[in-house]
Amino acid sequence: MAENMEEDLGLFEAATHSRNLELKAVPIGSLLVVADGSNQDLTSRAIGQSIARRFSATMHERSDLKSAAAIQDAAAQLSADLIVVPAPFGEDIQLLHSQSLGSVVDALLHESSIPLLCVREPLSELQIQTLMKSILVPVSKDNDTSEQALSWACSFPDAAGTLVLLELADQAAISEAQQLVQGKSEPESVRQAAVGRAMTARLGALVAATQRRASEHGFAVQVEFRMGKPIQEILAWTTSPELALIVIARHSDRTSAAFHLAADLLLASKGPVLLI
Amino acid sequence: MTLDTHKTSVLAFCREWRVAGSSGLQESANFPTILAMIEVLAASTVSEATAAKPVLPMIVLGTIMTLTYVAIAFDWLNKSLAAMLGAILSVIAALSMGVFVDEEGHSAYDRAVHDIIGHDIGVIGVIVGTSVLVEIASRSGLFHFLAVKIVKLTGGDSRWLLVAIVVATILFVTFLTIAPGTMIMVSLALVVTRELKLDPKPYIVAIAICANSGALMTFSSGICTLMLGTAGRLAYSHFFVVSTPMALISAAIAYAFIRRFYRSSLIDTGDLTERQQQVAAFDEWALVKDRRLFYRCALILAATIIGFASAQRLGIGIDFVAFCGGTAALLLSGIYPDEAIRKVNWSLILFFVGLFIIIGAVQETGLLDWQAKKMIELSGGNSIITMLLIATFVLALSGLMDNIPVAATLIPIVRSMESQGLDATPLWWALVLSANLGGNSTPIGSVSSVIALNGLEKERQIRIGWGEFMKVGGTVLALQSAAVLLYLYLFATFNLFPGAAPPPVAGG
Repeated sequence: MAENMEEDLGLFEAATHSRNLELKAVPIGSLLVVADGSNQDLTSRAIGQSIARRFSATMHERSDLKSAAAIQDAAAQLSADLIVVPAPFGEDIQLLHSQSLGSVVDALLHESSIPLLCVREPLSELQIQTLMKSILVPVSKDNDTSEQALSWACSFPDAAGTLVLLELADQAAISEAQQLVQGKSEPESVRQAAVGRAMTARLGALVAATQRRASEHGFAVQVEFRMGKPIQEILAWTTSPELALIVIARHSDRTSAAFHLAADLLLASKGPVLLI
Repeated sequence: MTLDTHKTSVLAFCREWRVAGSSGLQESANFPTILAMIEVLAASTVSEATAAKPVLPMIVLGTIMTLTYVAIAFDWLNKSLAAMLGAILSVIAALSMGVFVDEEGHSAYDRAVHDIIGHDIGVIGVIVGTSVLVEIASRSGLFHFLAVKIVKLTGGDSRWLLVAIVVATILFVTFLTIAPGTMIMVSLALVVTRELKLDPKPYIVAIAICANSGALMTFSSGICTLMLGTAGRLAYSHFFVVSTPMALISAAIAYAFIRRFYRSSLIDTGDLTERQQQVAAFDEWALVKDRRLFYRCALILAATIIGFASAQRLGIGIDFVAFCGGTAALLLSGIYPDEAIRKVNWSLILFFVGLFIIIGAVQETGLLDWQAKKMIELSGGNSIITMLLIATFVLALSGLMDNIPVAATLIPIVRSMESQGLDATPLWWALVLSANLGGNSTPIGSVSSVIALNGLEKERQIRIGWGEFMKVGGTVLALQSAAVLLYLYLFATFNLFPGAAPPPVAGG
């Protein structure tokens, strides 16, 4: 019962603290699909075509770009809103066994201001068709660009789609929750509920804004809270029941833990990851 | 051994223990009280037991029942554990003393345990079904959403906020039952009053007290109401005639007194416009974790309520309807079933099972029939006086101990009165109204006050002691009791109880 009250308190704190946030629609007028001659090219092209149809955008495919600088220059020239790139770049994914993203992708991660949709393992046609029906957005208070990630994520699913907003407990939430229980001898379930409360209260505005966008466009939103290891928690969602497109924000501070989380997630993921 | 010799030896035994208890033992002050209770029980039953039923089983099983209730009332043991322990002792005692005997197709044990539980399995079924449904409805954010919507209508005015909280409490308890409904409202009140810099006390006390009115609204709004409605075979629709008006009257009484008592706290501070803007900015969509589940739960709840209302007409039990509602919620929610099923109030179910077994065993001894006979004699066979006596007794006792055992014990007594020629319909309604409202007088009298006051102390470090609560709750109960007794009297006098026997025609 104590856990339920912590959860209810968190929900109402979210509602009463919620600043009026609006997730703006993301226009994608042009996208650049980069082919590197690997076994990921077909998937990259198919995903690019799918996105282009969804947003009525122009797709530009280039196979002559070999470096991060060249890719960024091409994107600037084409005024691309999105870059679709295989990760690792220049090698079949099986060869490297996910040990590395390669220097090109690594450089793009750090330098590109344009969102990157990194293609990992080759996908079947069915998987590509259903990819945009299931979107997963991990958010935490540490990441100041969660709002941007959600704006992008809300642009993808249609009325049959589902967006899962995965709240990951961060150190700030855990510390705040520890203050809430203040050394009292509470059972573990109550402590966890207290962390959930702290998270829910702080992310209330994001939840509310996402629900409002979802009401306008008819897709479903699920909000889940997790306290475990972030990468494991995120990947657990993407494999059942169907492959989900992960949308995650790269933190503006490229040395931060949140940025490294995005990079580590890309390395560990078998499915495509959209890095904002 | 003759009856008198037996009486003498039992009384002497009890007096010896009472002296030893008060002088030598490091026990709580309650120990001599318990023995005094046993002594009174023994003395009265032994001296006046009917010749048809043996006396010893009445004394032993009556003692086990009394001790169980005392253990629950004084919180010596977890109430489910106390009930289970009492049930085990009752079965052992009943079987060894031959209270239950083998019948064709039914062993003594079957009669002592399985038949008793089976007779009341409907209540358990409703608890299971509604627990699952309520858990899933809570997760959908449906009621949290409605709660914030209701608060926004007040514009931050402290007095209107009190009205909104009373209305929402009654509404939520009606559909969610008392514990989940109270918890949502207490959390809302704590957060909103903190945001608006209001004193939380009037709102928390209002929730604690008005939740008991909410439990009266429909057949399925409270566990006690459900248990009594099932036992008395009261029609769902009849609750709207008898119980719902009293629920609203009692809530109005509570609201009026609480508003007066806490009038100095219900003063708005700060800028009104700023407060209105603050409240308008509350975002109810932040509460909805899954919109599809949100709408589905609303539909399933509505369907379940319609099912409850139609169950008797369709010839099915409301436990079946509750099961269907819970199953539908599990199917359509996408929530992992084990997670939701884990939230079923198994503790309450075990408490019920234990209680039913104890009372069933006591009933079989004839003790409760004897008590029914005594009550009828006390009232001179007048059904209105009997009804008022029962209501008064239950109103008084429910403040001191859990209303469920009080109500459960009176069920066989009322049935016995019915078999002795009294029209039981008014008695069932008297039980329904008094068992729910009786818990308003003390901080431990009902689960809603326990949740509310604990929440306030834990979250805001504000303690409402017995003194303050009893000033408010005790006064409210006194006013509500007068209203209940008058209400019952008028209903009985003018034969307004649906399904009641018509008054006897005057001879001429």
